[in-house]
Order: sequence, then C-alpha cells, then structure tokens
Amino acid sequence: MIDKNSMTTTTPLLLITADPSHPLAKLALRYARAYLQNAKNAVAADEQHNDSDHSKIKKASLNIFFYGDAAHIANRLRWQSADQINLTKEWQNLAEQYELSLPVCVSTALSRGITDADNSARHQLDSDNLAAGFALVGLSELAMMMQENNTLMQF
Amino acid sequence: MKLLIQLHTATEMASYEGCALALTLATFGHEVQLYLDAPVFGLLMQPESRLHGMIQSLDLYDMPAAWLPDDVFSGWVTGMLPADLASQLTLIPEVVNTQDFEQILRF
Repeated sequence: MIDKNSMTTTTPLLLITADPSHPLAKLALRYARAYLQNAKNAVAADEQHNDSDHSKIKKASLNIFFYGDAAHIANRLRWQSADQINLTKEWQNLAEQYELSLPVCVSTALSRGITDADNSARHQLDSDNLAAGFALVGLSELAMMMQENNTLMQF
Repeated sequence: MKLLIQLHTATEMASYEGCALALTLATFGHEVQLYLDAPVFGLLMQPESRLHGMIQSLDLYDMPAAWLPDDVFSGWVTGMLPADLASQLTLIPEVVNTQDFEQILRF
C-alpha cells in the first residue's frame, strides 16, 4: 500500500501456511506478484510527476514468511509434473526480481524434512535440500516483522 | 497486534504449530486469544501431546484462557481434563466482535 501523501510505504506481511497443493498457496503468489507490480508502477508514475525529490520515494517491498505446510515450497527436491505451476521457482524468480527475502520457519521446515547445510550438520542429517533464495529462520523473525504495525494476511 | 488464533486441524503437528505461534507472539508483546475447536479436543486430552502442555502454561505467557465452542461437548471435555488445564479454558463469549482483532489466523 503506497501512501501517496507521504510517499512512504507500509509493508504488508504475507504469512503463508498453506501446502503448495492448496489453492491458497497459488493465491499468495498471485497476490504478491500483483502487489509488487502495482507498487512498482505507482513508484514509477510518481517519479515522473515528482522528480525533484527522489530521496522521499521508497522502493515498494513485501514481507513474506513461510510457516507450517508452506515450508514444502522451500524444498528444492519437490518434484511435480510439468503442467503444474512450480511455486518454488516462481517465488525464487519473484524474490530475485524485487530483491525479496524468503524466510521459512526453521522448526516447521525441519519437521518436514527440509534443511539447510548448517542445520543438516547440527542435527546429523544426511544432506540438505533448501532451495536457493530461501532462508531458515526462527519464529521470532515473524514476531519482529509484526512489530512494524503492518498489515498481516494469512494464505 | 491483537490476534485471534483458531486451532481446527486435528493433527499433533498443526495444533502444535498454531499454538507455538500464539505463545511466541505473546512473548513479543502481541495480544493473542486462542480458540480451540472440537477437532483438537482429542489432542488436548492426551497428556503427552504438546498442545496439552502448552495450554497448561498459557498463564505463564500472560495469555487469557483459551476459548472453546459454547456447547455441551466443551463442557464435557473441560470436566474430563485435569484442573490445572481446565483452568486455562473458557467458553467463547456469546458475542464476539471479530473487528476487535486485527487479524484472525487459522491452523
């Protein structure tokens, strides 16, 4: 949401808990993509009309947190048929395009067999399978994101 | 942030993750109200379940008693539970204004 009066942005927080096979998981991606595109367009339009003070314009951003069954999205070994949308790749592309971070709750990921190299070594697991661009973080990260008085949406 | 977290899913993991989120957010100063729906009653009654233990400790997190549906089954469950756990549960108020909560999360 872009506040056109102050030219600052309030950053929504998407709490994604749905399994990748659930329609809400796809809806979360669609929402994020549409929000970021809309915010990008608004910033670009404002730059055209008010190019005297670029310092006040903030880049549109979005906070995302994967929790519960949504941790499956961060599994780089999750195979699916070619006619299905690959949510892992789609989130990776979006994150690269808009410089987003993709935090995943570490305990929900580990309990579903998803781990990075550090946790693999710590818990004596055979290997790691966290997809590139995703990061395992503690639940406190989510609590800290919510301190910023932003809009929280669960998918 | 003022939140209502509803636990509906009758699996140990989902109920644990929903409750763990509630306790963590309460630790960080958020106002969290839990609502336990009938499907999680079976887990609540198992002393070895993580949900059982976490609900027992709600007051340690300065959280209010968890809401249960206002029906006969909730009364029966409360009567079957140990007193220290039952004291952390209460029937949902007759009138709940969902607008009082900034967000409602469901697990």
